Amino acid sequence: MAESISALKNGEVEIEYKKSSQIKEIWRRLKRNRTAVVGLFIISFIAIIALLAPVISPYNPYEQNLNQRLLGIGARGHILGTDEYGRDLLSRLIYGARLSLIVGFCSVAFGLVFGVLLGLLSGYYKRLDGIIMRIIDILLAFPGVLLALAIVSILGTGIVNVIIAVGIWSIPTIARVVRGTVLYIKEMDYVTAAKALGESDFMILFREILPNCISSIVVYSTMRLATAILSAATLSFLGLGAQPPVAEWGAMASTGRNFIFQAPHLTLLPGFAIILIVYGFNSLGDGLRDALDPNLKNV
Amino acid sequence: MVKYIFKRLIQLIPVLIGVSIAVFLMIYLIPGNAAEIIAGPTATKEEIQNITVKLGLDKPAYIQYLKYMSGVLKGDLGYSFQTGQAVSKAIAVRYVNTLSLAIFSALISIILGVTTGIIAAAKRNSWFDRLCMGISTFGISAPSFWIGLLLIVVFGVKLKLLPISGFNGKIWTADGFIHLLMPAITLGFGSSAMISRMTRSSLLEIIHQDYIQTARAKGVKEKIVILKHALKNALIPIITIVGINFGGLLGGAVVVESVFAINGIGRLMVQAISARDFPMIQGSVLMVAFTFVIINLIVDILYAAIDPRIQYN
Repeated sequence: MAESISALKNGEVEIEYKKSSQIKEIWRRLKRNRTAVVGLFIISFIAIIALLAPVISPYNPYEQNLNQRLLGIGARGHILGTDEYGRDLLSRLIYGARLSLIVGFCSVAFGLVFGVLLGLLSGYYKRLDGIIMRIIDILLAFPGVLLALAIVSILGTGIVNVIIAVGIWSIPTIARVVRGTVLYIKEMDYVTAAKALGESDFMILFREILPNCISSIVVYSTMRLATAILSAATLSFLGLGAQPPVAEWGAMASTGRNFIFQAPHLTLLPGFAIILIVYGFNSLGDGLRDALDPNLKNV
Repeated sequence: MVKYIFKRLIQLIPVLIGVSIAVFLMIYLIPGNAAEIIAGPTATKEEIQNITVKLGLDKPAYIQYLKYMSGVLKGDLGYSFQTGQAVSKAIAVRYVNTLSLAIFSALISIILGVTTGIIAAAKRNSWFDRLCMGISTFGISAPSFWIGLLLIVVFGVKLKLLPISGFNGKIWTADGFIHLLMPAITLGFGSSAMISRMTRSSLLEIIHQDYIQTARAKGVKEKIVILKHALKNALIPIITIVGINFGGLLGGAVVVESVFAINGIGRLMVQAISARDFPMIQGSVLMVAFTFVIINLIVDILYAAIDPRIQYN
């Protein structure tokens, strides 16, 4: 009791206290959502596998053994079989998890930096809104992965270029989500108060408005991670992303396609891994949306 | 209504110009320059210079853009760096295939999505409802290439029921229909999952409204209550998602065409990207984007026609 009173005397501590209780409340709501828990479990599981890849992987994912080519599931010493070069499929899938997570996080981070900035400017400054939104309309005129494809065609193939391409592709949608939230927040009393106190636009944007956009950004980014991983895998499948022999799930499914008659698991298992991770992020995103702000249900 | 359509058409112009500028600029953004790519790695400086002049690459960018656009308006999209073939000719053949695939898969996704959505809503919390929602979650998360490969393994390789490639471009023939069935299911699967979820949730929202209870109280059969009274009002969000998805199907076609070796714009684009054949990439990206924008316009006009609550202004 005495502790909390002394804490309340200090404004900073009070804010800290509120924040931690907010996080607890969000966590409580998230825990109640069964789908979100499943999503969180899947993501944690894959993240741990990715992190411990060198320790838990039974073989080197690039080690070839031509005497043990195209072994099926359950083969001795290779629980998920081997590929056309005799490389252990389980080890390649484990290392693939690393790449998928890296690609997903990097491309979404790339999209966030520019998308959030454009969304903030567009929502806050009426003068810029028209022009930024027109540019975004143009970018949104390229359906599905077409924009990412067009960008890869300019930058060239390769995993880094795919990260940039998927990142740029994420910008327009992130900017739209942030702009929508800014338009709503900038009419709030505390923003008007900050303006009346003479705070600079920079401070208002980054200290008053941005922190209040965080929940929608977190929810949207989680969902976008699923899309980013899926798109990057698709680009690799098309031969435009990670190139063989890199252990990347999309590229593995693509090369496995050549052996679809003898060893369908070479192409189906990497695809299943993609489904698992995408499902994980989608479910977690759904759960976070409900936990952070039920009003965001239609975002 | 006419005024609304006219207004939407006017709004379309800046987007179309913007898209064409973005596509035109692609050639400027590539590392190196187009003349070097055409001339090849062994070309002399003179040869590169000749190609630069021949293509007009030495002229100011806006003049090149105007020249490019006047060509586009006349149906001239340039010539392939790789084969020398007219881009518009190469695209024309493949455009029909891509559009056939997109329309066929849209139909499949609507039939599949709306039917399963209605049954799932009518039998809420039943095993069918759970199964449908489980499959739709899976459908949203699964990459289309994986679904395609799975169908190939099951229906093509194991059961030998359907051909795995070789669409002849004629969907109206039995042979064309059979060849396009698996690709269309693959492409439409994700979309049908979303339509199914939307149909279920919007029906469930409507089912609890008073007029539905009144209809039930009057003794109207449950089938008619759902199909006639509820579905009519649940249609708007369903049409919205169908509209959004149809555009997405055009983008998704890129992948499905590659899996089933269909000669469509998507496959052409992927091949052109690998070969760095820029006029072909520009032409195909432009055509797909233009089609997407026009489909979105048609969908918008359809909403306004169907839902009187949407204001034309």
